[in-house]
Amino acid sequence: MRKESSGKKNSRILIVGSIMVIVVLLFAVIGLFWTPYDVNGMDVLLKNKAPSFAHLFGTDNFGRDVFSRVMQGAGASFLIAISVVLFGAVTGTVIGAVTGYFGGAVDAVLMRINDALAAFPSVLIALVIIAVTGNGKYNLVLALGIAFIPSFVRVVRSEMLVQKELDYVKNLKLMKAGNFRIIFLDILPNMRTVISSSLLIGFQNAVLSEAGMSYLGLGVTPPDPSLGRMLSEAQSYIIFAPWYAIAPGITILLLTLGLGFISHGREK
Amino acid sequence: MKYIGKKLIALAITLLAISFVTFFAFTIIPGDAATSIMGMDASEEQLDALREELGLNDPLIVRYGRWVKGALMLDFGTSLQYKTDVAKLIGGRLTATLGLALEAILIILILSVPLGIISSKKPNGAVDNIITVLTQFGMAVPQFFLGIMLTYVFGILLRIVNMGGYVNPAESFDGFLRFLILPAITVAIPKLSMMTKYLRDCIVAQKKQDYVRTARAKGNSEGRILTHHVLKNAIIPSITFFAMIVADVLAGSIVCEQVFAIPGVGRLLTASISNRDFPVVSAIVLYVAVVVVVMNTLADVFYRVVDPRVK
Amino acid sequence: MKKHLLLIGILILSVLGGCANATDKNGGADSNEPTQGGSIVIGIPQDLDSLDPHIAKAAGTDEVLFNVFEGLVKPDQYGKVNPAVAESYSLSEDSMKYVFVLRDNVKFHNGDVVTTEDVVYSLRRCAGFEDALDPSVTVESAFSIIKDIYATDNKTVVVELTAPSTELIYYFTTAIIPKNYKNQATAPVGTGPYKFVSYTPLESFVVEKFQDYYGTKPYLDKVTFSIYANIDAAFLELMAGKIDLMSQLSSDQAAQLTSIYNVVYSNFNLVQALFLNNDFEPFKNPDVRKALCMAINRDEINQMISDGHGTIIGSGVFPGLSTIFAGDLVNYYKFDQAAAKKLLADAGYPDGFSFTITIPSSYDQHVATGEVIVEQLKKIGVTAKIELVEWSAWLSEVYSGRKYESTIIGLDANLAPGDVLKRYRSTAGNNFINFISEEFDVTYASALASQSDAEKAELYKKCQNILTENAASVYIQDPAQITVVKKGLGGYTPYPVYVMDISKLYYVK
Repeated sequence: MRKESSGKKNSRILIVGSIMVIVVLLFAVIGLFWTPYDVNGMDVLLKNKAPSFAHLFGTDNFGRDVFSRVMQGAGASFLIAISVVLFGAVTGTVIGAVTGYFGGAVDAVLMRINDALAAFPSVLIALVIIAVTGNGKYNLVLALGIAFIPSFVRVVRSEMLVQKELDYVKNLKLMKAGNFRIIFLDILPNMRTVISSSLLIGFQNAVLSEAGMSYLGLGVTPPDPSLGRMLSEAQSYIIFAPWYAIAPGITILLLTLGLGFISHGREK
Repeated sequence: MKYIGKKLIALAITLLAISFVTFFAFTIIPGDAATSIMGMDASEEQLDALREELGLNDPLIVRYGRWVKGALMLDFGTSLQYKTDVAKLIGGRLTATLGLALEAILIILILSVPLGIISSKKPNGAVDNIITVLTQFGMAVPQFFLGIMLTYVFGILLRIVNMGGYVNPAESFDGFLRFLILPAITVAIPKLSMMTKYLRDCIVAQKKQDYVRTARAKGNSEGRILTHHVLKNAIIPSITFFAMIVADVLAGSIVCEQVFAIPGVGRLLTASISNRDFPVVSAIVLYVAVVVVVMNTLADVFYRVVDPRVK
Repeated sequence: MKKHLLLIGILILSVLGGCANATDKNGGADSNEPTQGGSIVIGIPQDLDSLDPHIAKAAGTDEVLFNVFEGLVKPDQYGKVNPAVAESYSLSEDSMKYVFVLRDNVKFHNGDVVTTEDVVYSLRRCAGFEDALDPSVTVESAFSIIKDIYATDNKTVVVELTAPSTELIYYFTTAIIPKNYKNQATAPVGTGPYKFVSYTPLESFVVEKFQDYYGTKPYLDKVTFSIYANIDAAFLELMAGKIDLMSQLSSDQAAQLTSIYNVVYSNFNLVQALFLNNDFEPFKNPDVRKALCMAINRDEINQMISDGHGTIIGSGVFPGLSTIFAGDLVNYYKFDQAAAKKLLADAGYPDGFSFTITIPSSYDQHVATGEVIVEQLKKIGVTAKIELVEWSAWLSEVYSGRKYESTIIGLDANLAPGDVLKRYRSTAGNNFINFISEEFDVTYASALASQSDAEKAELYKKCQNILTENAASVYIQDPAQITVVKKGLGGYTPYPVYVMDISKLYYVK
């Protein structure tokens, strides 16, 4: 940690990133309780209308208010991404911590499986899982969640390999503390910096993956909005109603870019 | 040598596990190749006769055994949907994917190395900050949004790039390469951003090392320090990272192929999953696994060659 | 930098200039005079499911193969069938025997002349006769009344039936293929105006003009069917004008392309409906089904999805089948939410109920229809939830398995009058909505057996009446088929069946 002007700049980028994420989050949370219009309310006469004071982001091909849909869509994308990351992080951390701590044959086998899983683009894994489980947002969370496990296993396991050789762990062992107690109450809290930065990057990736899967038609079922789904639907209206693509696109960017800035700002 | 043998065995086990899981998944998916082929008006008897012909009625283990036996001799069977040899089918799609991958890798290499070096020259200087924001942007933008925007702006508004359908390289190799430019940029931008950032961080970290200070004290010029010491050391970990990127690009971009309507491996895979064409799906999954594992192993080997300290 | 801007300016100018020229040409070509030759690219939003015409099932494949294969007879744009490989045919007095006389010197694309052997083989293959059994061929169920197929001399083929049928002629549109040719699935050979050149899965299907075609020769030399995953994927190329013709667009999509394309509105020739599983609890009650019929605003769906270019229907037949279409049923159920609510309350659902609509995800139009329906049903307190499934899952779970509550799909049909209605017979294998009505079964049977066209039409109309009165499902519309045709291209001809006839397309002089 060298205190130069870099510290200041990094904290500035951290602040900018936080503001971006908070703005999106704020709209998403408000969207859960209140939106200017019914998100799914349709009106033939209002199809593909340009942004106006009545409809800030215009309307879509069903005459639905894009602003309302972006608010609720952001909430949906946010919740899915959070669930995916938590699912991946919790499972991955437990597996990584336990196998890293104990080592041995189980570790070797699990790491083989983990490598195999990690070998695949997460979209591919999710695609196969969704084909088996069927479409829907819960199945998407499961599918992407599984795809997100390997990266957490890897990070936690390698950190565990370092930590378990440290003196405080050896002392605890000498004091005959239970292994699981040591893992979960003593070692894991010491890994929070590593885990939290993985969480941030994972969260960004999860938002992007959700968008990608929605683009392929998987995830939130219509008519409910999600940012990725809106964006993919907007693709063929880009001349007629560019606002329809731009509004959810910018919202996703605010969120992912904000998350990127935060993790960058935290790095130094 | 022993190391490579060990790696090969690990590879074989990984591939076996992956292919078995794929097979198993296909037995529990609703709908099978027979329903997919027969469509709407087929009777149960017809479906059953077709299942018998396609060998779908045999138990999972038998079918899997048959497949492994074939795969060992590099025979991946016949596509249930397209009735052609799976290897040939995938081979045809692979040209598009490989062309795209090679162009993307070139773009990544040509841009990330200089950008990384420039960026690391003065950490947190104006140039570094601009590049940082740009790389953050590159990593944050959804790939399909990027693809749509690029085609919209360059292909339709400005007409700089000649938009058009996929060109088969057999017809016009030149047209093939030109068609792939926008998709390649789309694939390259996120990876390029990651690579630039990684390289920059590696160089910055190296510059703080003691040996750099020693070299400086000995009166070496900054340029010489960079080329002779810093870069050499920074490149080693970057190679591993680069190998991961290459593997990822070679595995085919399902989303990007969808955006640009490229008939590559990714599109064949999505189509084959919905056709329940498991010989094709297993072979593609196998291909992806082999690419990833081989690339990682190559990076490992390289790592050992340049840095003998690694065991 | 300045130089570049200038260059872009020139580019834009030249592009505009090009456009202006094109409009001029088109404007001057009101004579619509066709020219010979040229090649075009047609976009299709799905891959072909097989190149063997007897194995291919997807309507989207038939649409393309229509140009490569022909039957003994061939449908025209007016919904009639005309002799094709056969020069003429006759039906015996008792409607128990069809006699086909083959046209002289009809050639397959491989140069061989069509023989009676080829015809007998093709028909037997489709009818599922033992000697030509192939499990992947879909046996045409209408052929189940065929007793025997044989040739009497080298020009005549006879088909004997076990029951009288005047309608069977419409099924002889089935493709005639060479008997001793094994590569139909990879290199198809037929007798149509275009012959196969190449097929690359997920990429393209290419055909060229067949020089030895016996009928009117087509204009275009070469046609490439370019395969896309969906309309969205093709849209950027449509905007760039790289595709000459494409169907299945939404009206909003088409409206963005009018600078380089003409838009042609026609019908899909499908019965699009919210099909209700009559065996599922709330839908067992006909009053509940009737309530849904009244609660769904079909005009709004039509306006929302295709700006009103679809055709509203009220029963299980699309208007293209004009001889039997019962037009008076269209407004049998009037859109009336209050009445629907009351009917539901009387049926024991005063607070509405919930159900799932299972829709194959690859059909954007049906998904969009579902979105509108969900909103409309909310207004009468019924909660519908959309579930998207893959096509093969839909086939096995919904269509064959009948494990569903409701679905939205478009059903196509052969031109034979009875074809579109036969699935509603209580025992029909494809009666996926579980519609049971003895009255329908009896009426349908007598319609099929009837030898008088007028009586037939009356009885088929009665069948539709029964479907509507019982609210078998919520019939919505024959959706709008919206096609964009590049300016300067003429001869696009919509058919009352699901085909795309490229032999009539030409470049305007």
